[in-house]
Order: sequence, then C-alpha cells, then structure tokens
Amino acid sequence: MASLFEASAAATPARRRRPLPAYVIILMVIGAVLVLNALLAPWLAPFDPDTTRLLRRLRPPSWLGGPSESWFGTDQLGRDLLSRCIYGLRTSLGIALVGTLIGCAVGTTIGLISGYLGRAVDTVLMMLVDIQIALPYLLLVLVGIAVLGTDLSVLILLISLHSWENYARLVRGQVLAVRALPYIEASEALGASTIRILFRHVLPNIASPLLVMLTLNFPAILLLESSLSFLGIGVQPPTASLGRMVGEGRHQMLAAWWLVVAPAALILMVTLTAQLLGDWLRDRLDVKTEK
Amino acid sequence: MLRYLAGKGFRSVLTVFAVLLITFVAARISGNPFQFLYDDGLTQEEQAALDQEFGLDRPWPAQFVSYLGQIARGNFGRSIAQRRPVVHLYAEAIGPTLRLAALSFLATVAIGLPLGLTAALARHSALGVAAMGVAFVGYAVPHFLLAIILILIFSFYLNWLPSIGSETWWHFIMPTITLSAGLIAAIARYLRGEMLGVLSQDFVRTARAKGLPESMVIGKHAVRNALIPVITVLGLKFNGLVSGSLIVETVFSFQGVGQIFIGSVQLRDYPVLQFGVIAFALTVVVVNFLVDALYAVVDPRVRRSG
Amino acid sequence: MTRSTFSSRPPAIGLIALFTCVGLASLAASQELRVGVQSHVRALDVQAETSNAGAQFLHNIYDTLLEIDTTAQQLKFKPGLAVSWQRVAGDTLEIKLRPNVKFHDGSVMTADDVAFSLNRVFKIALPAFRSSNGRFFYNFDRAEAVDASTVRVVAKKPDPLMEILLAARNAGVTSKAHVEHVGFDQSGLAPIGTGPYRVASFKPNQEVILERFDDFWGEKAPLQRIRYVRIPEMAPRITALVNGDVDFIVQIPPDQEHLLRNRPNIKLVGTAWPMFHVYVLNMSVPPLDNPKIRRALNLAIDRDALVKALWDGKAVVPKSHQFPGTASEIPGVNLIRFDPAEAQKLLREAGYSGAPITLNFQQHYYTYGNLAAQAVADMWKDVGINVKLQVIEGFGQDPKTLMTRDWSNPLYYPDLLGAFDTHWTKSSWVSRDKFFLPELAPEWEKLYSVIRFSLDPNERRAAHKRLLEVGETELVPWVLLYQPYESFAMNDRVTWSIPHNVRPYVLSFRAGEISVRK
Repeated sequence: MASLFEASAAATPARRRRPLPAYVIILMVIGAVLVLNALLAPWLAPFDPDTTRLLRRLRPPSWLGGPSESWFGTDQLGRDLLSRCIYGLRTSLGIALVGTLIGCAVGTTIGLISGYLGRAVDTVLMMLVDIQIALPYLLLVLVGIAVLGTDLSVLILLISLHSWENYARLVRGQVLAVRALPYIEASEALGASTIRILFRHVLPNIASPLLVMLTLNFPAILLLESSLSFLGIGVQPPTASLGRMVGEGRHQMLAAWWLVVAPAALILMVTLTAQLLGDWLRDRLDVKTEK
Repeated sequence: MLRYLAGKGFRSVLTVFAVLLITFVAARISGNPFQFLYDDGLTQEEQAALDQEFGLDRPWPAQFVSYLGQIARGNFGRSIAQRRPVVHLYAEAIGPTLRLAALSFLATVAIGLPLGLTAALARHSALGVAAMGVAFVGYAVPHFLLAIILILIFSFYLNWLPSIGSETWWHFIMPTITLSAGLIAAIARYLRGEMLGVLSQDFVRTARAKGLPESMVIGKHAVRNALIPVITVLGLKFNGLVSGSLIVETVFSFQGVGQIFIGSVQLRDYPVLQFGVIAFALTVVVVNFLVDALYAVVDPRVRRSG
Repeated sequence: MTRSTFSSRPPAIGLIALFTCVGLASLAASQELRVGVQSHVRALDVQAETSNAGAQFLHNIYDTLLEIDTTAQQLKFKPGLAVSWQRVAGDTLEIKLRPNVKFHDGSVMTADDVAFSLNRVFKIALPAFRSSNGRFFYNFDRAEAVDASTVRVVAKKPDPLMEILLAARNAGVTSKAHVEHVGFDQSGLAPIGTGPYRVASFKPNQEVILERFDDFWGEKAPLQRIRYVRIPEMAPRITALVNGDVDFIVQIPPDQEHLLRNRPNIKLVGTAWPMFHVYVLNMSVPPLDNPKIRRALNLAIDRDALVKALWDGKAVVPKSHQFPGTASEIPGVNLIRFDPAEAQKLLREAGYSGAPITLNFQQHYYTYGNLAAQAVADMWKDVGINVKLQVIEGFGQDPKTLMTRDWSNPLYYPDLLGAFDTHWTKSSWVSRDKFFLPELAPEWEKLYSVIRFSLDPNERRAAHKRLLEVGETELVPWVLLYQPYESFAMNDRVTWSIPHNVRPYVLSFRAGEISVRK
C-alpha cells in the first residue's frame, strides 16, 4: 500500500513533462460537449421534450425522409426525439453524477473515519460495508421504492447507495497506508488535530485513486439507470432519460430503430468517454483502485 | 493466521445475521403480502386468520426468533403466494441459473483475462487498443438491449439460435454473452490496470535485471501478482450478477432464481424473500472469505491491516 | 466446448430451411401445440383464478354445467356437465347431471362434487374466492344435491342471469374428494377437473402442460398435448414463433404485426376485445368531487387520435359503456365525444382553479398504458388542466390516497351487465375505496336493481339505457379510453378463431374450436 502513495507522488513531475495525448483531448472535448448539452438543454432543445403530437408519431429522422424539423425523428407519441435526447442526457447525467458523487462522499467519509479512528468505530463501519456487499442491491431498490415512493429524489438516493462501500474500502485502505508514513506520524506526534490531518494530509493523498474510481463507477451507475427503467422502477414518465428511452423503444427496434439508436448511442458515448478518461487517469496517476 | 481466519469467519456469520435481520424488518415495513395477493381485498377476520396461519400476527421480534429456530432445523417455511415449501421454488429454478452463472464465469475468465493481458502487454499497439475497445463496449450497453439485439440478429434474422428456454446448451449461448459482457469488460480493465502497475514495480525490474527471460518475468511474477486483486474484484462483482441474471431470465424466458427472488419482493412473500437473501448473503460471504483467505496466505501484510 | 455437446440442434449456419421444417414437423407429428403466453398464473384453481392469464388455461381443463357455444355469434347454450336445466322458480334452477362423467383422476363425478364446487364460491369459503364471488356469484345462495343425478341451485333473489353465470368458467366443477384430501393449496397446483385436457405438469408462473383426457365425456380433444410457456418479452415471443420454437403466441399489439404479416407459414388473428381500458376517477377527492370537472376530463380526450396513433386505428372508440356487435348491445346510445371547447366551458363553470389532478397508472400492465397516460395528460393540459403523472405499483398500494387509477372493464359474460356488474357495484373495490359514490345519483340504485334482478328483458334494457346516460353524464365515475386490439399469431397449420361470448383472453382449444392441419 505504501508503494502506491510513492508511485502517485512520483507521477507528479512526470505530469508536467508529458503533453496530453490527442485522444484524451478529443475525449475531454466530447465530455465537455455532452455536459454542456445537458446543462443547456432548455436552450438547445428545439421543442418541449414532453409535448405529444400523436399524429406525427414514429417519423424517421429528417435526413431519412422524416419531417424536416425533427433531425432525430419522433417517438411513439410524436415527441421530438432530439429534444428528448438532450433532456434525457440531462436527466441521466444528472442522476448518474449526483448519485456517484453522493455515493463517493458517503463512502469517503466512512472510509476516512473508519481508517483514522480504527478500533471499535472501524469494526462497526466495516461491518456496515460487509452488510451492504452481502445485501442484494435490487432488494434495496425495490423495497426503497415501495416505502418511499417513485420520486426522482428517491431514485437518486437509492442509486447513490449503489457503490458507496467500494469508496469506503478504498479510502480506508489508503488512510491506513498514509498514516503509516513517517511525516503523518510526526504531525500526529506534534499534536495536529485529527480533522486537520485528515483534510490537509490524508485527503490530498487519496484524491487520485478516488478520482479514478469515480470515473470507473460512473458508467456503471449510468447503466444501472437503464436497467432500473427496464424493470419499470427507473425515472418516471413523462420525464425523458436515456435509460427509459431505450427501455421503451426496445419493442420498436425493427420498426423504428431510431427510437433506440439515438439514446443508446448517447449512453455509449458517455460510458466510453468516462471509461477511457478513467483509464487514462489511472495510467497517468498509476493508482490501484481496489485494495 | 488461524486467529485471523477465525475472526473473519465470525464476522461473516455476523454479517449474514445482520443482513437477514435487515431484510426481515424491511420486508415487513414495505407491506403485508395478503394486500398484494388478494386484489379484491380482505375482511379484517380473513386478514387476521391469514396472518395467524403464517405466524404474521405475532410481534416482529417473536417472529424473528421463531424463524431463526425454524431455519436452524433446516425448515425455510412455505411460500405465502404459492403455498408450497420455499426450497421447492428455488430447487426448480436453480438449475438454469447455476448453468448460466457457471458459463458466464467461465466466459469471463476465458475471455476477460486474455483480453486484459493483451491490453496491458500490447498497450501501445493496435492489438492492445482493440482489446480494450472490445472491453469498453461490453461495459457500455444496457444488458437488456444487448440481449434483444442478439435475439433479433441470431434468432429472428439468422435463425441460428433459439430465443427462449433453457433446455440445451444452445439456449445458453446468448444469455451467457449477455450476462458476461459486462464482467469480461470489468475484469479485462482491472487486470490491465493491475498489470501495468505491477510491471512498473521494483521486483519486476529486479527480475528483468537478473536476466530472466521476459516470458518468465511476465508469466511468473507479473501475472501472478496482478491476478490477486482481480480475484477480489470478481468476488465483489457478485451483486451485479443477480440483477443481470434477472434481466437475462426475463428476456430469454426461463424461470431462474432471479425471477423467483424479484417476484417474492413484489408480492412481499417473506419466506421466499428471506431464503433468497440468506442464500445470496452466504454465497457472497463465502466467496469473500475464500478470497480473503487466499489473500492472507499470499500476502502476510494483509493480516495486519485487515 | 465443442459443437457435439449442443444436443438438440445441428450446426446451424445456413440451415434456416431445415429449422423451419423441424419446427413444423414437430407440430404435426406429436400433435403438440406450443403456446407462448405473456403472463402465467401461480395456481389453477377454477373457482379462485379470475385473471386474464388464468382464462388462457381454465377453459380447457374444467367443465361447467352449461357450456357456451364459442363458435356461434349469438349467445347459444349447450349441455355441459348438465344434460338439461329448468327454471322451477325465478330464483331456482333444477339441473339434471350427465351420467358417468369422469374426473381426470379416474373417479366418477357426483352431484356432491357439483354442489361442493359451486358452494365454494357461492359462500366465499376462503378469501381466494372473493374475487370470483363478487364478479359472478354473489346473488347465489346455495347448490344442493337433490339426488345422485340432480342438483338444485338457489339464488338469494330472483335472477335473470343464473344460466349465464353458471356457464362462466369460474363455476367449473372440481373433485370434492381431491380438494378435501390434498387441501386447497395443493389442489391448485395439481388440479382435477373433468375437461377435455388434464394437467400433466405445472410449474407455477412458468409452464403448464396439458394432455388429452381420453375418458372425456364429450368429443375428444383435438390436440394430444398443449404446452404453454411464458415469454414475457415481445421480441423473443415473436421470434420464437418465427423460428418454430412455438406454434402460437398471444398479445401482439398492432404495431408489432408488421413483423409477422406476409410471412410464409404464419397467420394473424386479431380482435378488438369487448373490454375497455379505463381511468377510474375518485369521486371523493377535490377537485374531482365536482361532476363537471369529471365530465370535462372525458370531453377533453381525443380518443380517435389515441386509437389512430397507438393502435394503428384498430382499437375501437366507445360511444358508451357497452360493446358494439355484442349480443346485448343497445343501439343508438351516443354519449362519448371529443369536445375541448365544452370541456373548457365546464371547467369554467366548475370554478376550476388549477388544482393539480394526478393521473395514476401502472407502467407495464395494460398494453400501451404508459403511452396512453402521457398522451391523455397532454390532452388534459390542452384544456387547461394542471395534470401530474404518477406511476403506481399495482393493487397492493393503498388506493384511498389516489386521485385516479388505470383499470380495465372486460365483458365477463354476454349480458348487459357483463362488464358492469363485476366492476361498478358494491362488491367492487371502487365502492369499497369510495372512488365510486352511486348514491349521488338517486336514480342509480333503482335502475340498477331493475337491470340486475328483473326477469323482463325489455324492462332491463330500458333501465340499462337510462343507466348508461346517468353514468356517463351525471355520475361520471370513469373515463373510458377504448377497446384494445390485440392479435394472436400462429403457424398457418393451426386453424383457430376468437371465441364468441366468453370473456376476453380465453384460449379455446376444445373440439370444434381449433384444428391443426397435418
């Protein structure tokens, strides 16, 4: 574990020397475009995403002979698919980002406390982690929705529970490794406060592996949203989300392929970008993501 | 060493117990099974009689204690919805699920490991990039979409493979691909990362400096060291298998454990749900225990921090 | 893994023709019909199972005293387990039983078995029978064995529907000895009836295999075996038929038909079911407690557009709560129309202030239910209603908290009341949960009692006509959307048509109802 810290510290000077590879720049641009799209949805979408126009349903994209104003065609209710894709991206990215960040924050906090305080606190918190791992996640979601309802906030809450235990395990391991380092022991001996040590010394040192894990978990969460949509417990209609659009379009795959292709391509783009950037980061920072 | 494992073992038992307790309470908070079974409602007397028949009229702690006594004697109770022993339900469904899981595991190891190794060793070549490309795409498409695309191509258009059921090995080709695609991708990526990490470490450099042939360096030192964390990851991926398996079972129309389990959650069929959770938790715990044990044997440092 | 371990299929590449032949050959050779159904059941108890899914099986396993000729357009009874029946009073039916009818376990059916089976549902011996009792049998008092070959069925009040209700499949006959010996739970898993097919194997929620019952009292079953498998997803179900993995599939909505049309060896049989997709409006909750607002919700919906868009024009737009073309239809009742201007006017008159109205619906229960809800919400928005969509889990959820909910009203039996009595009465959840408050229309109770209990057909029809008006314009407890259209698709060697005068979703595979060309 100690070698890990040294490795990432050693990577710092290298970072200045090597320029960004071209593909990383492209990925970052794609990522930025996707995020901007999501942020600016209300200004970018040509139509209201939820307004139905029944008599214009299932029109192919404009470049395949569909209506000229619908570049991506229309869906089962005549809604403009491009607008729904833009809003769907916003919903899905939002859920995945917020869910991932909450999960990360909770997991990191627990990992920090557990690793730093040790003893009974550590035992209890690690039991929590064990329990989470041994509990079928779908059970958690189904029961959560049955008790709390189907609101978007509930969905985000449940999604954020998806992988907090991974962060907790990672961070705890890193904290244990960092604490064994001489200079942390020294500042402890000098009477620095626990909080100060955690935030000034420990957190910066574990930032890189955390960042990498975030980028690796993000696509999983995005796919989770679509799996939940398939099971009918994801984002609720009429709100567009990429997962829901794929789930609802799946019956029309042969008759109106564009219903699935457009949102699925976006899912693919988001997950690929996140994965490639994550792997690049990992190579760059040379960190391990599991203990 | 033994003390370490005993400690782990004790924690595992405690974990399963806690998971069962949580499930037991959560299920009861989420609703009464008879409300879901009888659309047309029940009179208070009927509700009371049914609750009594299944012992749901007593306080939860009492229910829990007697349930523990019951399972200690190997009796997992009757399904409330199907009115037959819980173990029968699972026994009927376990066959296809086990086959699917075993095949998916094999596929994951047989494809994921070479893919990850290739990606790491041929990192800067087209081959390595291609290997990672395959892995990435496997992790970028929703399970159900992949399954339906496979069915449309290989069953609907080409008619090479059956689209429903689980009778022959042919039936398992598409389900296995669907379920293992994500796992293959995950394993390949972890292995690649680990390999790159290991290859830059001192002992590999030392081995090279000693003049050992490259195949020896990679085969004996690097791969072995990189594999250990990968095994851990495999153990942790178990949770994804359940939701994945449910979707695969639904799309390919066979009754597997995933369907039984989810059905029990939807109907609040407590005994079926509880058995599913116990079985799942036990499997996870045993797998992780074995991984930990393996870890402890290989890497003595773990005993201190674990 | 080598090819040889794949047992039943030869190396597949390029052998499409061969596969097709194999598929067809197996149907012809074994006379096994493989049916891909969308949903299945947990148990096959004829008195307890009232779901659409159950209707697919029960018709073939159990007999009723009176049978309905499903091939005749007009309602036509034929002798079933009864050879004759006679009204000895307005409330009493005396029934002569067919001698030497064998149960699937080889025992002989007696008057005791008949009385036992009917009394199970007449008296709600178990909560499992409540649904069936509320839909069909609540006015029956008792069935008694008069002698070895005679059964007397007595109603609580004189009842014009006795014959029709006794022909409903839930009045099927099961073995008393069997049920008493193995218990209710087990008998639902290993059912014993007298029908042309017996249950050879049953995996709840997954598969049931029926076999021809050679000791059947009537014309022997046309098929040796029927295997129903559950294929919940659409693409695999259609693919399974195209591939020859099954011979018959159910529940194909119009927008999937193009995948099957014009294919050699496959044909489609479709129908607009005598059944409405419905939104129930909660009359107890403001602002829906105002009938003008409920009426406005109805007038705001462009049903033609819904039918054209979602159902390829094949679903049927209702004119009132009855089904065109059925034996019981009262012609010339036009109560439902699309009139957004009138809707807006009513909203103004009602002083509607923009209070939110929630449309509660289930996501994957009714075909296109999901899409319809979103489209309807938009139509309501167009007339100025503040709509919120909210998905609900199903009937387990506490309905009292809901403002609306989706439902269906199938015609359970071919009578004026066939889609009414089971849904809009005191025994229904709509009354129990105070969604439906018929007491707000003083006429209702009186009209209803005439339709339900009068033995004079003309009086019944006149009352029913008025009831439809009161329901649609004064009480307005519902929004009727349309009669859904669905197709069955099958191998073209199979000859089968939609059965008449039985409830929707019955898969009729008895003699004269299906044949398979060799």
